[in-house]
Amino acid sequence: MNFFLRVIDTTRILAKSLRALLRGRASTREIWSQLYEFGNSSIGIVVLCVTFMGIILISEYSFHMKLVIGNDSMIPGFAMILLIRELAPIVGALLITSKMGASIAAELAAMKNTEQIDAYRLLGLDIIELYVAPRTLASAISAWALATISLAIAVLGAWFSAVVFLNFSTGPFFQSLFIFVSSGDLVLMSVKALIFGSCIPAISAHYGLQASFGAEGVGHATTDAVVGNSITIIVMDFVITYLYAVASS
Amino acid sequence: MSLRLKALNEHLMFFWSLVVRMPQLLTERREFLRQFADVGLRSLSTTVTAGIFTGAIMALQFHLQLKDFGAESVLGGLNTSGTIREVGPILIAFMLAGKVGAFTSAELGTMKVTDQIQAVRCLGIDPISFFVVPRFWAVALNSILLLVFGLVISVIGGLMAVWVVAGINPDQYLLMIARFATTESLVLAISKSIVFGLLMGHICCANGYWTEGGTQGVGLAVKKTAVQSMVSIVLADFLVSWGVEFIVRSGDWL
Repeated sequence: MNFFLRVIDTTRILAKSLRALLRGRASTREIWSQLYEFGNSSIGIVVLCVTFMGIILISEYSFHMKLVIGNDSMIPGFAMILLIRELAPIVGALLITSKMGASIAAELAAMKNTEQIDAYRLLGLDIIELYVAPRTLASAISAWALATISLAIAVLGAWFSAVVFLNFSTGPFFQSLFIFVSSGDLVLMSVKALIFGSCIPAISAHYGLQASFGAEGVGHATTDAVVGNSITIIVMDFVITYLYAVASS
Repeated sequence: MSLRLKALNEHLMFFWSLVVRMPQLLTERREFLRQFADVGLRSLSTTVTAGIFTGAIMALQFHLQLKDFGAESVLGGLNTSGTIREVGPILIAFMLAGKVGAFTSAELGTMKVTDQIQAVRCLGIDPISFFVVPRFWAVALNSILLLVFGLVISVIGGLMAVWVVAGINPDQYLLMIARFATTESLVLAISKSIVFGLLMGHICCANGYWTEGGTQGVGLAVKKTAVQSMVSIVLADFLVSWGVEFIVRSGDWL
């Protein structure tokens, strides 16, 4: 299957599940249980990863700022803006990909192998409406919530490390933070997280539904889904950042 | 002993058994070379894509931030140094963990649940030296090389992004790289690559080798590999940054 067919098929799945959501065909109970699966089960690692990245960013920026302008009063603003605009949505989405995206692809591939998908079709049920649509909504909401929560804790972690290791005091830290960070950055972060989150189930479902026969097919579908998701996330991030750069200048 | 300490102990023992069996690579060199070429060729395109876009995204962000201060002239140095020290290794390692790590642990896990590993043991051959050691060193060495390669590619990606989007003179960009990307940054980038490579190789082999219970177990092993690699990469990133800075600082003090 070539690249364009993959893109077209993924878009078809995404459009179909969005339409099902808009028409209210997705089951509410399934959405709630998927919200638990996507959000609650990965909040620990997302918070851990983003917080550590915040702490590392603060120390790295202090190194660079001292090198360039010889003072480090602007570090919090600079470092946190990078965390908000790029790292919180990307890292959150990558972790959701490797946890939930992989399992969606594996589950669908296994269902295809055991002919359950054909059985659903025979009953007149649509697997995308039934299975992918609730996950699309749950994944979009969880990606956004995970990015927001982990960002809040990461800012606290960065503040702590700045006070302890870099001899900052609390006032200047938050002053510099609020000079640089505007509500537009939070909107950009939310847009990114929502877009990444809603694409993950569609891409994984595409790889799962295209899986070839046997246990090896399931394995390949899982790996390909993780890789396809990661590449798509980073490319979309570039496109959104580029559009933002063009719009803001 | 608590459960977590026990798991850590098992991981350390497994890693040690892989390191001790390194001479076995000579007897298994055909398998090792095959795996090495296989893993490298399969993940080259992922590395190149991840590298180019990581560099480009970081360059655009730095450009947005520096533009307000009129400090665009230092963009090349800051972007390159920031990318290869911090964000580049993490993002490229995340991609590689999804690609190489997941595949290797799925492969080893399938061998385990279909009793191929037991069969080899019945023949009187040590399954760790036969199956795991070539894979571990193939994945680890490949990841190290690919990470360094990806970082080089990310410099090119950043250069292209600012050249095309922001219209910055590429000569000046390249000049600034030499001024800001110091030896310390290079040491940090390479030591991060080595640590991440060894970590990814170990985690995917251990989870694959310890797989239990049918095809669902294989799925679980793959999931575990991805999550454990990401968390340990972030933690290792913190420790390596701190350690290298500590060493450099104590060197200054002497």
